[in-house]
Amino acid sequence: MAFNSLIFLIFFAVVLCLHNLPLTWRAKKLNLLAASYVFYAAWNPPFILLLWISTLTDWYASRKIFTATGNTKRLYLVLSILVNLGMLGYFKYGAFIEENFAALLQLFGVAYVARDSSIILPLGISFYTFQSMSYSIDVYRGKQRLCESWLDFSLYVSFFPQLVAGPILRAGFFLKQLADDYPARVSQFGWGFALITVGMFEKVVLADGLLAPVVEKVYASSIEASGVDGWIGTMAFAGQIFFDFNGYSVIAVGLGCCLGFNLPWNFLSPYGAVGFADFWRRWHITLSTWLRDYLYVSMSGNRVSTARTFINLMLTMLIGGLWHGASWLFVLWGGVHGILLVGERLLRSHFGGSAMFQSSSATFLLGLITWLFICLTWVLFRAESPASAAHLLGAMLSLQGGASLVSMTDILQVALVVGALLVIHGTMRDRDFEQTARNLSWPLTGLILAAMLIAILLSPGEERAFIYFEF
Amino acid sequence: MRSSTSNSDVGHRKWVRAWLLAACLVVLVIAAWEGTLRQVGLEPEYSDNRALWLSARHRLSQPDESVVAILGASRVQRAIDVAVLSERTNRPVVQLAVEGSSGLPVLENLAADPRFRGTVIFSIAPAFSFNRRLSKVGKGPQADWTSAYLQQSRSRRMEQELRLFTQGLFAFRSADGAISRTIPAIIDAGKLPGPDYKTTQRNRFVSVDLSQLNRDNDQNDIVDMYRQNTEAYDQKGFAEILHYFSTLVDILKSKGCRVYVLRLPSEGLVLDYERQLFPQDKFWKQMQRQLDAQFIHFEDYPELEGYLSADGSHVAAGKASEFTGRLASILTASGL
Repeated sequence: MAFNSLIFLIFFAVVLCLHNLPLTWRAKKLNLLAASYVFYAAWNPPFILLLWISTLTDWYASRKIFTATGNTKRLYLVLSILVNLGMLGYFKYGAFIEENFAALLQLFGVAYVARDSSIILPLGISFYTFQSMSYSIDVYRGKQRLCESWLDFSLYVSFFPQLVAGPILRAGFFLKQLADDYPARVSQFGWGFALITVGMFEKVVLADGLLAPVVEKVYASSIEASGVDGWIGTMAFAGQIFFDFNGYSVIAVGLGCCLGFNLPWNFLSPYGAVGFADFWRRWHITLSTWLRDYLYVSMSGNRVSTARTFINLMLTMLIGGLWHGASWLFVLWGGVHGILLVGERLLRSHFGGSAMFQSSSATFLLGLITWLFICLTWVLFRAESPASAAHLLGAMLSLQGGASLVSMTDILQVALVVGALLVIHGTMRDRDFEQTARNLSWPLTGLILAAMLIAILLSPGEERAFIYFEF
Repeated sequence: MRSSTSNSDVGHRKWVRAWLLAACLVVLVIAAWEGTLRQVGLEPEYSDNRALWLSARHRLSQPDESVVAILGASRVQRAIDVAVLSERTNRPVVQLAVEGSSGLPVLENLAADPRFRGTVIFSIAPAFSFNRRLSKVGKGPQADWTSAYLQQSRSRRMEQELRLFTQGLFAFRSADGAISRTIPAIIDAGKLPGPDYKTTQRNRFVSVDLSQLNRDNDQNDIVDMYRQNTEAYDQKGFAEILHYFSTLVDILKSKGCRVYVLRLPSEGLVLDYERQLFPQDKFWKQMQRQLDAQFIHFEDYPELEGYLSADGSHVAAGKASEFTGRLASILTASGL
C-alpha cells in the first residue's frame, strides 16, 4: 500500500478515526499495531512472517542481553545480528552472491551456473531489520533501557508510517512516545496534513509528473545519450530522487504527526550542502547516522590513526552503498562517496582554516561544486548497467554532442524545477522548515496548500512506486 | 536531531483558516475546470491501458461457463461492441485484445487458469498473431500484462478499481482532459481541445474516428506497420506457432472451453498485403486442419462486409454496434 494511493487514503482515514475514539491508550496502540500489520500484509501477506521474526528475535535477544554477562551477552547480540542480516542477506543479496560466486568460479575454469533466482525482495526489509537490530545493540551497549512492553516494542519495529522506507527510528526516540497518550491537537493535524500534502506534491507532481519522464528518456533509452542528454537526465534524476524520497519521508512525518507522534526529519536541504560530509549530514539522515553509530563507531571511527580512519570511512560508505541494492554499481557509488569524503578530509586538514574559504562567494562556489559531484555520482546510482554508466559519465565529462534524447521543453522543465530546488536548498540550508512554515500567514499557507492539492488532483493518474521501496 | 513537530502550538486558528481557504479554493478551481472541460465536449473517459486490461482480466477470475473472452489485437477491439455482443448472446463478455500484439500469451494464461471455463473468441490478425516476437510467451505487451495480472496483489487491485472509478466520474481525470494535453493546446491554439479521435469505454471497447484521414495514405501506413511486424516471419516460425496454438486449444477444450477462431474483414491495400503474405490455403486452411476450434472467416459471410473505415483494417467508428449484431448472429447460429 503506497502513500500515493487512494486505498491508502481510505486506510489512513479509518486508522485515524479509530485512533481518536475514546479508547484506552493500550487499545489505541493495539489498533496501530494491527493497522501496521495490515499495511504490510497488503503488499504480500506471507512476508509479514519476516517482520514477526525480526520483532521476536530482538525482543528475545535484548532480554537475554540485558540479564546475561560476558560472552553469553555477546552471543545473544550475535544472534540478533545474524538473524536480521541473514534475512537481509538471503532476500536481498542471495542471487547477487550466487551470481558473483559463479563468475568467480568461471575465472578458475569451474563451470558453475547460478540458478535463475526468483527471490522476491520483501518490502522495507532493509529498514525494519536495521531498526530492530539497533535496539539490541543499544541494549548491549547499555544505552537503551529494556522495553517492558511487548506491544510497544512490536509497534516500534512496525509503525506503518515509517515501516517500509524510513525514517529509521531509534528505540530511545520512539519508545518513550509510546509511554503515554498525547492526542494530536488541532495545530498538529493542520501541520500533519500540510506535510502530507507537501510530500504528495513532491512525489506525484514533481518527481513522477515532471522529472521521471525526462529521466526515463535518458536512462531507459536504447540510443546512446549525448553530453547534454546526460546532464539534463542526471539533473532530473537528482531532483527526482530527492522529491521521491523526501516526499515519502515528509508524508511519513505528517502521518505520525496526525497520530500524535514525532518522527525525525530525513532530509535537511541536502543540495544546499557545502562539502560531502555536510551532504551526508543532510541526506537520508536516519541511515547515515545509523551507519555512523553502529558501523563506523563500532570500527573505532576516527579514534584511530588517520589511515585507519580513512579505511573505516571507506568501509562504511561501501557498505552504505551496498545497503541500497545488490549491485556493484551501488557499491561503486558508495565507494566514490567514500573517496570524496576522504579527499575532503585531507583538503580540510590542509586548507580548512584558510580565510579564502570562509567568504560567501567561496561557500556558494563550493556548494555548486559539491552539487555537481553529487550529480555525477547519481549516474552510478541510476544507470541500468556499468557500461551505460561509463558511457553517460564519459559523455557528460566531455560534453560531447547536442541534445538528441531530450527536447527543449524537457530542458526548460528540468532547469525550472531543479533550479528552484537548488535555490530553496541554498536559502534554507541554515533554516528550520517548520519554523519557516510557522511564520507564513494563514492566507498564504492556504493558497500554497490549495495550489499543491490542485496540482496533485490534475496530475496524470499513473501510479509509480517510491524509488526507495526497491531498497 | 531536529524533531518534526515541536510541542509548541503552531496556531490552531491559523491552520483551521488556512485549511478552510484551501478546501474552498480546491473545490472552486476543480469544479470550474471540470465544467469548462465538459463545455467543450470532454466527458469522463477511460484510457486503454494496462490498468483497464487488468480490471477486465480479473472479471474472468470466477468460474463461469457462460463468459466469453475476446483475444486479439486492435481489429477485434474496435470491431466488437462488448455491450452489444453481451446483450445479443446473453453472456458476460470480456475484451482482452491489445492493440498491436498477439493474443497467444493471453490464450496461454487462460489455458493455465483452472477457473476459466468459458468461451474464447480468438481474432487472427495475421501480422501480429504469427509474429514470432510477439506471439511467444514472455514477449510483447500481452505477455507483460499477463505477468502483471499473475503478480497483482489484492490491495493493488483495489487501488486500480478505485482509480478507474474516479476516471469514470471526472473529465479532468481522463486522457482527453489531462493537463498534459489541454495546457499545450491552450498555449498553441489559445483554446481547449475537443474530444480526441479515440474513445475507450469501461468494458474496453475502443472507437476510433478516422473519417478525417486520407484513405490511401492511411492504408499505406497500416501496411508499413504490418511490414515492420512481419520481418521476422517465416513458414517454419508459423509452423511452430501453430503447434503451440494447437496445444493451448487442446488444453482449453479439455477443460470444457469452446474456442472460436475469427478472421475479421480487411480490404484494399491491407487485404492485398495479407493475401500476399498469408495466402488462405497455406495459413487459414492449415489452421483449420490443425486446430480443434470453430472458424469464422469474413469471406464466408458477406454480411460482415461494408463496415470498414478508411484504413481498410478496422471497423469504422459508429458502425461497430451493427457489425457486432451481425457477428453475434453468426456466433449464436454456430452454437454460442
